[in-house]
Amino acid sequence: MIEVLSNAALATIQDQGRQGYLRYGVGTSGAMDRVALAIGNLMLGNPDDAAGIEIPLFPFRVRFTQDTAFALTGADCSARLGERPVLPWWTLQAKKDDVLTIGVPASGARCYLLLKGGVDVPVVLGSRSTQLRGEFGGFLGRQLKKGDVVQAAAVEPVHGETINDLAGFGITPPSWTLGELETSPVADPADTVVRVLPAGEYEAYEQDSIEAFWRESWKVTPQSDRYGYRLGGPVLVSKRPVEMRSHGIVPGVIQVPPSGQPIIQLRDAQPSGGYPKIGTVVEADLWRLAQARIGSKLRFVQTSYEEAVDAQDELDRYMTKLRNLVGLHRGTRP
Amino acid sequence: MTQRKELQISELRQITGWLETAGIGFIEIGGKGTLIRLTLESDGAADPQPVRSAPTVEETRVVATSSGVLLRCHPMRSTPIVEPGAAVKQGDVLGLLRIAQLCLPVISPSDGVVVKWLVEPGATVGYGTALMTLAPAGNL
Amino acid sequence: MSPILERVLDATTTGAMTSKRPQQNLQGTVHLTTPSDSGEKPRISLLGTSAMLFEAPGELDLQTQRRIWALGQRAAKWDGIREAVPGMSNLMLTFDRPPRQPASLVAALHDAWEAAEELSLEGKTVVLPVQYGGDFGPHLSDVVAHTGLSVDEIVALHSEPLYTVYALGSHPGYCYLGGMDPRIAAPRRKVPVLGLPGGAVSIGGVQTGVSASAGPSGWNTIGHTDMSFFDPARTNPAMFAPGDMIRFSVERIVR
Repeated sequence: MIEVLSNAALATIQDQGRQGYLRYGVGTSGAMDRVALAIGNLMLGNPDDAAGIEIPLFPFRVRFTQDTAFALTGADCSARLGERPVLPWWTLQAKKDDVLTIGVPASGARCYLLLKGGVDVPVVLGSRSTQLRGEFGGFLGRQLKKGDVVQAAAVEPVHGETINDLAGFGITPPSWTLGELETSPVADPADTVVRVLPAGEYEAYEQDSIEAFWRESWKVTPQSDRYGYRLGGPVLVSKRPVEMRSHGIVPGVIQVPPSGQPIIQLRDAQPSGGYPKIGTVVEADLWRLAQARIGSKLRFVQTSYEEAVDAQDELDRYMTKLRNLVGLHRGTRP
Repeated sequence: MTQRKELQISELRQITGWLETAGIGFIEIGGKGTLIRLTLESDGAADPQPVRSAPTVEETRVVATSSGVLLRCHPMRSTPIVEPGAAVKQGDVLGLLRIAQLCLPVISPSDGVVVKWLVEPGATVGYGTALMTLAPAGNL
Repeated sequence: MSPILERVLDATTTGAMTSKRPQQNLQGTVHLTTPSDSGEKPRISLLGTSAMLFEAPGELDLQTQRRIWALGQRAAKWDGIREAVPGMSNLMLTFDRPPRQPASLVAALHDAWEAAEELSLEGKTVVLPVQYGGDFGPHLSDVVAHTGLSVDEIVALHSEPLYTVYALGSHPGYCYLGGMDPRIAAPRRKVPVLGLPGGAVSIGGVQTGVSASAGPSGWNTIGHTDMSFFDPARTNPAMFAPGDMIRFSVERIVR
């Protein structure tokens, strides 16, 4: 259990998302960086569908109201438990009244605080994710505020902790294994590169615009959040005006409104829309996007459907390997 | 370690000399509130000044509790977790042992001051490998 | 390299993708226009590895939409399909896992569309009183400017038809309505407007709808109605379903 000590941090309860209600106008919500959330749950031995706290703004402080194990994944945010530093991608045991301070990340945009057993909020329409537009799910359908007490699902108390349990263990971050993607021309190391599949209206764009789409470093403007990333860069021009009928979209779809500045629709985006789509960021790279900060830049690299499915498989294999590794380690701990 | 030492430094030097003569590699001397662990390096040459060539008598060895690749920095960072001279507490993380994607902490067995790493970063170590030496806390 | 997936004639239902085309990726010609101009063929494209979009050709009308409902009901049961999400004369199929051979799915969609008969979903009829214009209709003047019609003409044309709920989308409980008079069509806004309240009655292109909760919109808001459209505690959480009918009544016009 934790008590929130910070205000206005835009923190929300999220799990892997609310699936199967798009036809009622209910988007999936869920963690922006689903990999970080999943790994945090693995480290704690939580069920895969356990919910955690997504923290996009910093600093963020919570007080543990009872002994509990927790994990912190995602951006490296110089966390401290009391006076002691907490390493990134780490799990350890907190004691009652410990204060966890999550600082401003050196890199990355979001971090995830997972609790042993998972955050205990009601399941609404199959998920514990926060549906901000509909004001339901998660913690009372809203962002966390100072004074909120967030419960974790009841777990067996830990007996006979050794010093090893108190120090915890960590996981190498996904980028360490999955690497950064390459692009041509070579990307600036500070840019986030993601793979994109052309979408239905790709060929409606002028050749110059298409070339710019792949070549430019697109800036993540301050109007970027869980709903979508609004990008700044050259104006994309279509050969003629495209007025579409409203149709379903998914996170990753890159729409081009009449302004010509693309918007990548993300986890809290409307589940349908009518702007033309130039491409879709592949699902396997959405976690990379989630860690691109405001003010940073994106590069798009064209991929094929087969390559994109391979990337998804690679991600799944990585998660399975981690699951086995952590399982072995947790199994051997006293 | 407490400020009030129950054994004088001069006494420890003498004990070290006896240990070496007797061929004893390891001894722990406990007093009220103090524990001194003396370990003689196996390749320490016979030396009329054992205090200088052998490890300093008060030093503690931090050993690996599993095999793995020794990391001094977290994979996401370029600054080491601890630097020589840093004061550490029992339970503090000094470094990491990486096994595939798992990072296990190298934990300080006692309060102390980091003297030096005994293993290069990136080296693969086995269970029990000596990784680092710590001096007692307050012994600057 | 076209993102539009053409039906590959030799694709079998077991998914073997044989093709006369030399390229590895799915190829085809693209239609740059909206489906109503593209002749008789549906337009199928991928949304990354997450979903496939089927756009029916022809007019945006109840006949087409009923066939979309039929297609959706059938496709929802196919292996690997998480959800079939009808839109305005289109259907999005989300994947549980991306199919290794999407050509089979493309073929199945074409077959199912050809066979699809109009599904008659007769639902309830609800009358929604609307306050047109004023603070609740900030873009009514834009619709006037675009159409050349007066406020009274626009309100009359908007409130006359019995609209059918074609699909839900956009946000929880939001209904996309079919049957709007094309004379009051007005393009979506260049820059979406933030913070529109729930109950906002809007026109976007040739479509009209009512927002179910506060949020941003790229449509032209012409009025307001009080109505609860969504309750997450209910098994069927949306108040309306495809096939229901809505009539707007003019409560008042604020000039």
